[in-house]
Amino acid sequence: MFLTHKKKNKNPKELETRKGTSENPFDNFYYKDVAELTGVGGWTIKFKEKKTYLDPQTRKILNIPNDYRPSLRNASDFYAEEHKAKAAELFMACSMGVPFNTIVKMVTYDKKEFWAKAVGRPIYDKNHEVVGIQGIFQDIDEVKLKEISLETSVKVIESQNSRLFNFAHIVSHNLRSHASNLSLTLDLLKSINNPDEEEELKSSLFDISESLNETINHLNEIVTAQSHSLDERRILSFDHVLQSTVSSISRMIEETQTEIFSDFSEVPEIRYIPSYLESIFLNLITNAIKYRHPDRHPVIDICSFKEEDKTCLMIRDNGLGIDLEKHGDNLFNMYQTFHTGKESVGIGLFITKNQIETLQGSIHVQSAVDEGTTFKIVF
Amino acid sequence: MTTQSPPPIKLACIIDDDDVYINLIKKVINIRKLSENLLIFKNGREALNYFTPIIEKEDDRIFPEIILLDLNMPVMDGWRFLEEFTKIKTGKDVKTTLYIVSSSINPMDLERAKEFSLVTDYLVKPVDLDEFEAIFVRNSA
Repeated sequence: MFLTHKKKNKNPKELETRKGTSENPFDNFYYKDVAELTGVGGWTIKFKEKKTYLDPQTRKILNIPNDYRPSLRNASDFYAEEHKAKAAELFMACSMGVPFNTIVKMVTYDKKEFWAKAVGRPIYDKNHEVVGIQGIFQDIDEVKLKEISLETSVKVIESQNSRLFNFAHIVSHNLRSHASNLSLTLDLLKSINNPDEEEELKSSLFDISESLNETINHLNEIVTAQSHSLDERRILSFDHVLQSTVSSISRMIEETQTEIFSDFSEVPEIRYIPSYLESIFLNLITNAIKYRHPDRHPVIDICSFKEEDKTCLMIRDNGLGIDLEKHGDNLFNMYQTFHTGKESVGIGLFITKNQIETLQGSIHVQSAVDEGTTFKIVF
Repeated sequence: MTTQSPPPIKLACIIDDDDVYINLIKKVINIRKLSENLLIFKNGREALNYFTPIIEKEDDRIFPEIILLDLNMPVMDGWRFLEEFTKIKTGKDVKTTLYIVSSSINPMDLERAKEFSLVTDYLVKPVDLDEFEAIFVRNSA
């Protein structure tokens, strides 16, 4: 009894409010509030009248002043430069009867870019002819930006994962070869009883321990190189970083009579992790010197430039060159050395590639045997 | 051990860039008297340069009866050597038994080794000394 009594009291009020809005469902609550809550604005273009109508929510999304008159001519102003063509194509197709539902980068009246969901469909008259188009815009900037940053994170994590896997593989392989030498030596020690042989085997134990240490130092070097990936990026002058790299290896440069030419006039600066850029210069320059051609002094050309809006760095030498058809796949792998010589260790390019890829860049190589090698880095 | 009898084979060959390993294997072969002579190459390219003239009959040096091939080497690795060696050996009368001896336990390497009919077996380092001796004795039989 108590409950029904209460209900009876409440019902008439609810009915009253509904009654007020039920006459025009697109007025007030149903239309305006829904449009506002979801951030959806509507628009209509009528061909015969040559008129474009924007509802209040669309004006709000696009930040259009009240006295602004929309028209087909200025419609393209509301799309980001790279999406203007796409938008024009969709509207054209829609006016021929093809509806669209897409995500596009738009620009507000005051030139702020944002991501929008845009849906449109043709309006037909009685004779089934398209007389206009209508549709909605929804501001989905927040969601889209989150999606983009998520995608980037996934890519970074994927590449980090594959590098970790590669690294684990390298660690196990490199430690294995020492472990197996160790066990072979001990096996042999057990089976012989000649004191001279025994002495010799004991001395090889020292060699193994030394190479084991060396391997661990290399692995440590790689881990250290990786650990800087969270360092802050700073605006760096290519020339400053090059000069400090060159002075750190000035003896090597003098002894080999290496000449280094650089031109950073096109792109003098870059926002990058300082230790990474130093290490890129160091590895590529020392490589160019290590694998110099016996018939000539090393000449290294370095320059920066823009390509498809990205900063690039090119480092070219006149050294031995590498047969890329044979070794291309292995070039950046660890412990891959293509020339005999004590100086070859085989971790420099591995580290360089890792550092560049950690920051979403890429490294490319061109080479001809006996002519030289060119590395191009896209940052 | 076969200490009193003559070594089972005349010439064995090691292609490996690991000096420590080479020294150890040398010792094993000497102590157990497994081969009269031993050829050592530091990478696939060196070995190929030596083998090619013999196979092409331009040279009458004897061919090793056993080749122990490492995979990870500078200049020319074991895989590349196998490809090149298969090419020059095809149709030629060369008798040799080739074993891969590598510290790689990567299943992909083992699978890849099976693709070469030239490869008799895949030994994972460290090799067991008795198993190692068995290869030489088996080959002489």
